[in-house]
Amino acid sequence: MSAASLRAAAGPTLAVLAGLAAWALVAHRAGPLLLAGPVEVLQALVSERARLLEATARTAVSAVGGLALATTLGLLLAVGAWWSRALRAALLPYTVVLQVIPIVAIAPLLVVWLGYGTAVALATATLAAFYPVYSAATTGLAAPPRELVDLFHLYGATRLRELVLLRLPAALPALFSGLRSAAGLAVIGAIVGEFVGSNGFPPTLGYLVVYAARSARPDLCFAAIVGAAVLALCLHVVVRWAERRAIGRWYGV
Amino acid sequence: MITLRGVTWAPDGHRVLDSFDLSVELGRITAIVGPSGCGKSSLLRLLAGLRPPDAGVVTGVPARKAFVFQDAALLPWLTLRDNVALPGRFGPIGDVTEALARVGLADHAHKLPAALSGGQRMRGSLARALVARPELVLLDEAFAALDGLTRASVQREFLALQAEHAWTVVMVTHELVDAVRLSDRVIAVGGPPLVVKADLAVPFPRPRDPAAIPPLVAALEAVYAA
Repeated sequence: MSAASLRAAAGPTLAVLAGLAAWALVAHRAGPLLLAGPVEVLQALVSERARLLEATARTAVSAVGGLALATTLGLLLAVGAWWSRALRAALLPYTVVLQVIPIVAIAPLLVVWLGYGTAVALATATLAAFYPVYSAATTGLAAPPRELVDLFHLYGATRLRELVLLRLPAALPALFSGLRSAAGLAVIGAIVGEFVGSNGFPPTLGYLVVYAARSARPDLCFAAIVGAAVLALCLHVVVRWAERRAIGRWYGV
Repeated sequence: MITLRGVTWAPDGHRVLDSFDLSVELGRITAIVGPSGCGKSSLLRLLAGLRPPDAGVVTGVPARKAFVFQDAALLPWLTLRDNVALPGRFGPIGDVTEALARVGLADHAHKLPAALSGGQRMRGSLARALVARPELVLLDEAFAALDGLTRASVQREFLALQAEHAWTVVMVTHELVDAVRLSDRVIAVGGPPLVVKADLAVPFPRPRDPAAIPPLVAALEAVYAA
């Protein structure tokens, strides 16, 4: 490591160390029932690793499943909205409502309909991730410049071929930027669903957070939050990787 | 002869053509010059047949047409070869390899547009026009994005192809020098709606004597100064 890069890394490292020290100090003053210090969280991560890993895996299934469902639905409906003006007009109120309804507010109702288990988290993750995907896909399908659209019309392209050969590939950059937001929202959506829709059999991150907070286990609560953050980060990295694989070369990357 | 008689056209609600008359000779290069937003690009879209006119008649437009745009308009996800072959997805085309070789890009066929220079992209765009075996070629500010030296060489290439295939060319540009250097006739327009302000023949043989160009450019500038 060069002297310059050492100097560049020194600032952030010092800030993190200072933060950890402050955290440990405040946790020590507050006591283990209110706030867990960094060491306690680390201990919880190790001692509860089996439960945490299983919970993270369950939540990951809901988040990834929700993201996949939202992507499929969002893309299909966006294509439909491009294809038919009437369908676009009909979808508008529903997409707006979906965007403005707080998922936390409908999660209890989903439990009534779907019962305890993965289905609620899957549903809330889908609902949370849907709008960014739909909105990005709609923008992306309208993305090709007029020249390219003119060119396809000059060739006498049918709407289907215009869609497949021009609009869908051209929509990929916008779609990926929508997917990046949607990936984070899917994790949040899954956890919100688990707050109310998971009873701990099997354990989930959302359940662990609620359970730990109620049983005065802030160390476990923080450990579950670490799990959620790692999960969201992994999803983000995977989407980024797919984006670079799919469209990086278009820009000479 | 391509003829527009009393053509009125409002493709997006704006009336860009209003009882417009024009005739264009086949096998020649006709340049349309004018300020941006005057409706000259709409004229190309009308000639391309993208939408029929709202009133009036357009006759004599050849069936096989090609577009060449300012930034080449290649699809960024297709290799140069696939881009040049694109018209082949919709109808019969000429030999792609031959067209690429003709514009000097045989060694770049496998590259994506992002890996090509601006001049190479424009040559690719010419090759894509070439394989469509067009009778009418529509140029929309085709050379505007190229730097001076590249522009001169791409224009030479374009003139050679036009002469070889007796293309009828209608080119829209706001570069008066380009218009005079390349075309057989320069139509100066204003608008919208589009009106013809001047119609000049350029009666000099190619390649053009550089000394012959400034007087005509000055004449065109005078049209817009008035």
